Amino acid sequence: MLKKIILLLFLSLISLYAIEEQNIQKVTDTKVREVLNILKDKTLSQKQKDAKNVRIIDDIFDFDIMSQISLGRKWKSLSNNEKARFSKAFEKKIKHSYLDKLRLYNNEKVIIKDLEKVKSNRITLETQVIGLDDTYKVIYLFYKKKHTNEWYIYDVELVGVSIIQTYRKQFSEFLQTKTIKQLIESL
Amino acid sequence: MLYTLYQKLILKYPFWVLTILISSILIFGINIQKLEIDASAETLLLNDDKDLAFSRTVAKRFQTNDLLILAYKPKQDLLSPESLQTLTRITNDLEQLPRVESVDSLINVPLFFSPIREMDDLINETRTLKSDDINLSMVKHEFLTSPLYKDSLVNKDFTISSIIIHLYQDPEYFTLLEERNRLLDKQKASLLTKEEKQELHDVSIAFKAHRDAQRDIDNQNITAIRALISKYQDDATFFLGGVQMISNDIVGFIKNDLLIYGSTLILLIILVLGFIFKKIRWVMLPILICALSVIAITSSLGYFGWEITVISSNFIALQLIITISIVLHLIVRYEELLTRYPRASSKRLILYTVLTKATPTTFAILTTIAGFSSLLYSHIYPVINLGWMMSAGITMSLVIAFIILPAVLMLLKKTPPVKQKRSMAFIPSLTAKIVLHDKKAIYIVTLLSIVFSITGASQLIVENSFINYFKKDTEIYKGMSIIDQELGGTTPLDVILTLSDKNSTPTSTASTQEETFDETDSFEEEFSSVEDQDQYWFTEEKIQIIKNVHHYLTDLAQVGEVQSFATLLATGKILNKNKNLDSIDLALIYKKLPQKYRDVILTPYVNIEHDQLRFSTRVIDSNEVLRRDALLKKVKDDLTQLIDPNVATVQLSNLMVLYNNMLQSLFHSQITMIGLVLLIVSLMFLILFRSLKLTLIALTVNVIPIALVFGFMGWLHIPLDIMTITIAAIAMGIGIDDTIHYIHRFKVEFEKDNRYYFSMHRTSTSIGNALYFTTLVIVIGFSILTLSNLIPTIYFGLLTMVVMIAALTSDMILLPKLLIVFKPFKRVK
Repeated sequence: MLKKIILLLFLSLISLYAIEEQNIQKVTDTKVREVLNILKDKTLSQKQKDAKNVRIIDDIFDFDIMSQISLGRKWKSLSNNEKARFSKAFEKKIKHSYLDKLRLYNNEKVIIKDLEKVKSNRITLETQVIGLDDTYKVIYLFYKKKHTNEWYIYDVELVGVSIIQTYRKQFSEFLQTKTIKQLIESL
Repeated sequence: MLYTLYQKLILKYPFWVLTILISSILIFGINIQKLEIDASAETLLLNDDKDLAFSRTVAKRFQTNDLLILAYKPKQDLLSPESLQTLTRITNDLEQLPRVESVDSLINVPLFFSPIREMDDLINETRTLKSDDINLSMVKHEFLTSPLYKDSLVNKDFTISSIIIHLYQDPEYFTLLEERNRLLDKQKASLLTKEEKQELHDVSIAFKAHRDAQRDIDNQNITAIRALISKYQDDATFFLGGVQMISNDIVGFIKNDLLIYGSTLILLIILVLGFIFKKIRWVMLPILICALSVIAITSSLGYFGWEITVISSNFIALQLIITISIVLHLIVRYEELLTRYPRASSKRLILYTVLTKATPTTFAILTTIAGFSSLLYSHIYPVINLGWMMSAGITMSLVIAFIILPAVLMLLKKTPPVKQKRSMAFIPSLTAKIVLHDKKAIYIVTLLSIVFSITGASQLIVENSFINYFKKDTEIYKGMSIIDQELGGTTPLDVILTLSDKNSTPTSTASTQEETFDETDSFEEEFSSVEDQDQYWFTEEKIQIIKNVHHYLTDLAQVGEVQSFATLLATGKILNKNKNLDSIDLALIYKKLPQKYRDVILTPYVNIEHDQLRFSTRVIDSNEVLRRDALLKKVKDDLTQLIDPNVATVQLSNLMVLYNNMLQSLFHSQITMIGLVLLIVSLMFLILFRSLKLTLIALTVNVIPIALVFGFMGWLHIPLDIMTITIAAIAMGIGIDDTIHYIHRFKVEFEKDNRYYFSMHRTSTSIGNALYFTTLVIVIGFSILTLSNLIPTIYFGLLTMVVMIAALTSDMILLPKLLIVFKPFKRVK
């Protein structure tokens, strides 16, 4: 089960370009397949696979907003310099985690399901990862960026576990006794 | 008044007095059958211990069941077909027992690494030794290396495995207990209403009835397990252990001791009395008085529902000692008067005997009660009960002896006095000679005794090792030592971490970006509404704390098995290709884990609702360097250093803590109370003797034998435990009697001629006989306790013998010497 769950994680991090609302489903489907193809490609080394996949996720995941959410209200007390350093460290952490777990992929099938507009600026997209014994639900959470009207992924929920919420809780506990500087260093 | 009472009642109507008294005692004696023995763990706990309430909360919150551990040592290899077949059969048989909820053994525990599989495969199909295509060498490797099983399910040599018998929890017990305690607490704080009083009465009765019934069921369960084991003795060796076993076996030993020692002690006393006095009446009378006293006190205990516990199990022996001592003083005095006044009427002799002995004996009994009353200030029911039992018991003995002996003598014909053989009386006259001639020797011996006592006492340790309660050849000792040393320890100790609830994110300061301000706030609302969901509980911070604490506990030499959430993390790491599970993995596993697995691997160690973590350990009781109090303090201090107090607080729980609290409390209260008792006794001496000098002499003479006991305990490495710690109080109570009798007599003799030398000689050769006989009977009687299966009983016997001999020596040599040197009596013109 663990392996499959981990697989959900990496699939959740599949990148989508900043997209318009009507294209979310289609683009998601395309990009998932792109990543799966890269993973299946035996001619590529692990390093090459990692590099290609990073490129796919770079644009559609809004790492800045993910960083902000993960720090909660603490974010606002940070200096601009600290915010920049934290965002950079957090992005690196998420990508490392993604690449690490991507290696566990084992030919599971992915189906893109329904899209749901939760609020005017929030959309969720449900997908399913089908393994031999079980099917797991993965939900991509999109938000619409003001001014640009483009949609970005700000979180992914795997079988009811929000990735950003997991980090949020973790950072909150870390900062109870330690400083933001120590947090950045630990990342 | 006493004179009138004897003249007009006891000596006038001896037959009716005897008939009424004996028949009343015998009728009341039917209550003996209500007498109960309780050696459960509960009896050894402090009444008002906060840790007890906490331990009960922990047991409830983490759903920890009572368990018995059966060590299984087959003749063949552990994984041989024969061994596994026996194991399968015994596991099945055990599962059929009504008190048994489940049984874990090699045969049915889940195998995770034989071979390593995907986690969902593990959850979908639990592999055990019963599964097909099992690779035994892989399984052996798993048992020897798995964090779940190594050193607890199997020993290092892979020759012994443990069969863990989980017993059904008894929720009814805790429901009744909580209800009773709630009402008791309320009663302490304020007055109860009529209905509440009735409720308390009803619940107390229901609780006792339920507990008694449960105790019987537990006993039957252990008997059934033992019967089952005996069926398989040809194939393997078994050792049964566990906390419940300790109390079960202690009860067995106490019952045995009460029966054997009660009867053998009486037999020995008969022989010694026969040897000393050579008169049937002086054998039968003490036995009659002792028997009536014991019946009176035990039936009172039965009537009032007081139970005999480990601590109070020797009360019958103590009661016999003190009663014999009272009777012997009366007999010796009677014989002495009879020798001196052979023609005096029987009535006058008896009257003079009781009247001259009434004051010293009453004071002796009062000082003994003062000694035992020190036990009332402990916070442990059985110790308090022992104090009450003895105080009540010896008061009864005093009354019974002073009624029965004169009344019976009135009915018997006067016989010629006993002619003491020279050999019998040589000790009193020898001591008189020593007092006069060996001045230096007395001082040197006293000084050496003081040095011996101080150096010994400085080595005293306060410890309560259950394994050391039993002789090495007993089944329980063997079982406990195997489980202790080979299978992870015996005494349970839990470390509980309560995490701080300060996990809210800090408040914001001024924002610098207009756009992110709005966006972040809307996300904040979205995320903070779900942040307390259980799956997000498993953060890296917590994981690190869990690992640190687990690692710390595992490194302690005195701690055997350690189980916590870290055990699961270590197992998960192996399954995850040696990579640590991070908080995302754990959140996902938590969401997907079926309830049956949660109950086994999460519930006993993690309580998300109360933000608590439990580290379950077993302490190696037989570890000789184990100092329980020091270990508990060290664990608490070290963990408080290891964990930021803002993150979590540390509490220790379970039996190890509770027993230690009890012992420490007993130790401290005893130290305080010995001081207080000395003060009370001093006051009583002052009232009795009306002389400060005499009081100081009497105290000195008594402090030395008591100190000697502590000296012996220190030098012989006998720890102060729940049994031996009461020796001082008992020693003081018994030892002082001799001093009172001696000084009282010395005063009477001194008044005759105002000469210390002659007074001393007369006192030693008269009252000395009573002291000497009493000590002889007690020492011989107590020597039988050394045959007990319970080590504390053996120590109790030995130490009482030491006290009695030391007290006799001190009273017969040091006391007269000090009296002669300091001359405390005023000359009577």
